[in-house]
Amino acid sequence: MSNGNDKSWTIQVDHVTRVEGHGSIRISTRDGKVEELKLSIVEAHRFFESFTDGMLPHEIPWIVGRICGICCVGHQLAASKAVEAALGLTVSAQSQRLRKLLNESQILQSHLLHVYFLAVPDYLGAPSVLPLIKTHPEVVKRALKLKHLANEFTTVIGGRALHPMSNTLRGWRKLPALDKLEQIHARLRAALPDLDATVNIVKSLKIPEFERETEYVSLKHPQEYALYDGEIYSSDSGASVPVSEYRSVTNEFTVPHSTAKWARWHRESYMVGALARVNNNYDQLHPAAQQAAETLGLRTPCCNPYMNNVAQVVEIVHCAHNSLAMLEQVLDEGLAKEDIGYTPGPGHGVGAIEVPRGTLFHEFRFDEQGRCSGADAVIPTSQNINNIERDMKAFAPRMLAEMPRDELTLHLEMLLRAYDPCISCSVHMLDVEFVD
Amino acid sequence: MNAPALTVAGIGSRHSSDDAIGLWLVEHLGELPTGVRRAQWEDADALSLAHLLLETAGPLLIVDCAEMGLGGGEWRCFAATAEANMKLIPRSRSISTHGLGLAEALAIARQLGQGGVVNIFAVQPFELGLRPPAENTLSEAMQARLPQLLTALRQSIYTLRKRMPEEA
Repeated sequence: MSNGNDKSWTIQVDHVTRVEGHGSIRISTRDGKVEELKLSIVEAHRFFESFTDGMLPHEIPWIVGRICGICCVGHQLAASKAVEAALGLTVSAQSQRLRKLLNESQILQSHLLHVYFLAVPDYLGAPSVLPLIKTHPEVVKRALKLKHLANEFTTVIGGRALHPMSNTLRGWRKLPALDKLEQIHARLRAALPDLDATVNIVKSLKIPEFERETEYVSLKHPQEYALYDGEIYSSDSGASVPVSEYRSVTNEFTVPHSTAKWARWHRESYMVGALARVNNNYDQLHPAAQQAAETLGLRTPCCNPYMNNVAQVVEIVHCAHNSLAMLEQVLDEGLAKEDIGYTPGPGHGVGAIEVPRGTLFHEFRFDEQGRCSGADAVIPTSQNINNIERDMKAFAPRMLAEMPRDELTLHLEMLLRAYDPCISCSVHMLDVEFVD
Repeated sequence: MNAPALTVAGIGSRHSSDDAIGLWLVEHLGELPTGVRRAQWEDADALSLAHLLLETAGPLLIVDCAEMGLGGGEWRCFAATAEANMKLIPRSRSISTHGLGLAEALAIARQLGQGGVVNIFAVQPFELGLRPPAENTLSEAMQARLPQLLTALRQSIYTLRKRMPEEA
């Protein structure tokens, strides 16, 4: 590595850690200016869409759920919605509520994992959560407790924490036990002080100051903070389009240095995920989550991508309170076994859902025999990669003169981690290389 | 409430063939000696395991499927200590989203203050492939070994129980 007096140099980070999958950052500079910056995605294609070819409708949600171990619920639910749209199947209010609970339990799992175990170590100057065990044992204990609770929540609703099997087309194969729902409700309520403590620790972190205005895209629903349902909303246009028109939103294209596709809508790139959702739907957050946002200094519209971690904490608070309210409704009304029969046939449908990292789209087509004849999945990270690279291209030149190279490398990795990318899904991420 | 003299905890998954052996054995132990309780930590990831290890008071016997380089269906019971002649081998030096197992969970719990005795009853799998849902997803070869394994586990519990005080 050359010293800061060199006229040109390259930073290359191969295999950025604490992200899901593999990617690399390569920065070339000349005369103190960034000449080139590339965020390369190097994972092999996974061909999940091809796996569904010839499958029966009810098999698809369980197969595509395997795209991701972290967003397995989201993939399963997006696929269920797409298949149901293709076949014209209806879903009862009871099953929709259970799906919302399942989705929010997964968002809790994922956000808690990301904030505590993957992002917070950066801010506390640790290479991973392991050194924090000695310096911040109570923080790690709380993290383990909350993560375990979120796993148990998913298990109670969906049958197991990872790749739950209870949800299927039209509803639930095995309904959650009411006594288990009561227990998880009590445990969630008892954990609220731990969420307050989570807000307080994140409040104490020094978030890098960096702003770059971009387009924020998320689902939007007239009645609720959109996580399960809604139309596709853009902060640029201030308008929504139906989920069935998702291809006019994602406009996927390829670049030579990425095996993941890129996306753009009204401008050169857009962002999906917690910050996009909070920016677009702040008024529909639970009041406790709005209070958390205020405490954490998240004021919308917020254009600092590092604040995505803060938005995740806001959503943790929202999902906990919203789930408590939904659990109370379920316990009040009880659960009844429902008819989940259906007849395979031809059709075409699109499903969308908000997963921890952003909006997820699934599309399926079925032939006359009811077999799958076409599939498409557009995942949040592949929508974000274009925007992440553009953030880096804006950040690096500003900081080149004032940050040592190691610090700049760390901040670029933190920027990537702030998006909580799932590179395995988008095809994986991250190594930084500075090239002379 | 006093801690049990010994907690016997099964871990694993019922969706990966012989990985369910710990759950199966603990489920079929039958009546337990006084002061011994059972727990099933099914599908728990490493972070959940670390939490459960911290939350469980008193000595532990963890029953799990383990790659030990032995013949399928062979078992070993050993203390998870630095001095033991059998050791859990950590697979990862940093927290990522994949790759953590019981060794890492125990290391995290130990550093956070888990000071109780932890023993491992480990069974070498015959196979670990995915199997369709069924009452018993264990391999046929493992199913043939179940009577021997149950006897061995009961003997290990009896031996450990004798070493423990009435209440931890």
